[in-house]
Amino acid sequence: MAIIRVPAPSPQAFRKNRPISDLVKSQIRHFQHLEHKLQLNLPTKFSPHDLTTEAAAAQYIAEMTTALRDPAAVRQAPVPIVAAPPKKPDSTPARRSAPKSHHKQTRQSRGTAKTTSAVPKKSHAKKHAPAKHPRKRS
Amino acid sequence: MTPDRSKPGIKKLKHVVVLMMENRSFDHMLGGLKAQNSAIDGLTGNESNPDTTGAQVPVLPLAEYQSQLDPDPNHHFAAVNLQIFGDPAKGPPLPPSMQGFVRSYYNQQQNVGHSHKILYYFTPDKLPVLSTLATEFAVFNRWFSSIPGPTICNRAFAHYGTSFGQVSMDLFYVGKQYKSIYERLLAANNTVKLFYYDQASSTMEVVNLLQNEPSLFGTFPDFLRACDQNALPDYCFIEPNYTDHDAPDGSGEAIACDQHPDHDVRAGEQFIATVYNKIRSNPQLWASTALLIVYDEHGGIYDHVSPPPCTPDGFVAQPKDTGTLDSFHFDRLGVRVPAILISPWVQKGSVINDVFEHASIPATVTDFFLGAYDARSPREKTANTFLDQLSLKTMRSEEDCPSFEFE
Repeated sequence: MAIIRVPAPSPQAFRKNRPISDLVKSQIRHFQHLEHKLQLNLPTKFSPHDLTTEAAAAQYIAEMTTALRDPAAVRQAPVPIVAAPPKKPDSTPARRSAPKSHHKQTRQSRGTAKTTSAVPKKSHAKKHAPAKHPRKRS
Repeated sequence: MTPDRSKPGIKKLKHVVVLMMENRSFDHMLGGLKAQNSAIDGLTGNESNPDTTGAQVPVLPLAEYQSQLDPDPNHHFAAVNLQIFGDPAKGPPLPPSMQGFVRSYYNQQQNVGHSHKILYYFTPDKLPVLSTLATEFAVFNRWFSSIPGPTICNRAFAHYGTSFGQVSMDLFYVGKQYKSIYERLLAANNTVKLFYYDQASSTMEVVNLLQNEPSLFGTFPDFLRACDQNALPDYCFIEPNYTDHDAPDGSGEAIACDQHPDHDVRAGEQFIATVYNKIRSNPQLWASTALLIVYDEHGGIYDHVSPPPCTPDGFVAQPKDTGTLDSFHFDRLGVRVPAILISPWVQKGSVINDVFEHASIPATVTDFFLGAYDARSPREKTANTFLDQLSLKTMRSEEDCPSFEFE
């Protein structure tokens, strides 16, 4: 049968400074419970009231997930923070608010839709890849 | 129903993959398919809800990919009571009329016009992936969320066959009486994996599985590699990306693909298509895999089918937990959600009318991989299983199954 074409999200769809949903707030609460219970020392020192945007939440969640999957990663001393909140909820892509140098590299790679019938072209990855896009904004 | 193991599709079956998306009702995503196939219990266009002025507001095919359901529609227990029974404080014996969705959404902004959007649905052409898979494989007319409430307790039913009395997003620790489907399978030397999108999106199963069984987890790229390398575990559960964020490895922007309002629904369509294409493009995997796409709960969005009663779960949530005047005995299901079963052994255009819920997932996986297994919740023990839908005598041809290409 015919190949079905799948529309891409709009260029404005990515809004990392969107306020977090109740779902992500709950996810953070669960991680914070474990952070305190297990007395984890994350590479970044997060202030709970700064975790208001999806980007900031994601940074915290990434460090917590790494800590839970690889406890050796949290043996280093904490460094002072980061995760600045946005000025306001926005509708445009925003800049990263945390220094990447504190991130532990993951095993993840750009592996999304490379199949026989769905191969994102690198030069148009923003349109083609379902979830991971080359950084086009600083 | 236990599948007939003499059927070729069941004999071939080696992998069950479940992809659980976020917060959309059946009618919102698939209701428009009724116009194409009357066997699909979608919308006639005559369904309506009263708004706060007393006017009857009809369902309309005006759903947009993003920026329409903002704020996020309330779908906590009391709000769902209002949506189903017309009263936030009471449930049965009030009839489940499904007439309170507009009033529930109105409560969040006191905007009459905006409250009507909770009735909007997608036409099939706007959701080519979900609509195509629903019509080309098997769509469930009666797959309900397990609890008339939010995400985390509903997802618990997919992992444990129960939420251990939880009806909210609060933190909870699982009881020892029922093991997760992953622990059961591992104990029997089966292979399992939960694939979250990446470290920054992670899982909603934080306090129990991620804390205690971190080796159960992998990332979405791990899933894709496993498909390429014919190394897919026996049972896989995939979680979408829950946030827009920069990828932790610096490879680019990771757009949320969970379809939770107000994330762009098209990103979720592409994610579903990626999972499907990846399995389909490996002939060995395609012949031996059953893929279930299902949504965790309705997200406060309208559906016209009243949730039915179900076997009580043995737990009781008190009024302080439900936020209503009633305790809850886990004896009725939540609002209906989209669910699609995909395999080349499934008859094209199948429409399944039996009742399913998320406890059907561990019930099916346990039944297929382990057989008799007693230490399960009453809900899971009585939940329907779905692999009998792999009923064809010969596998469908390559040409007979759709594939997707990204614009």
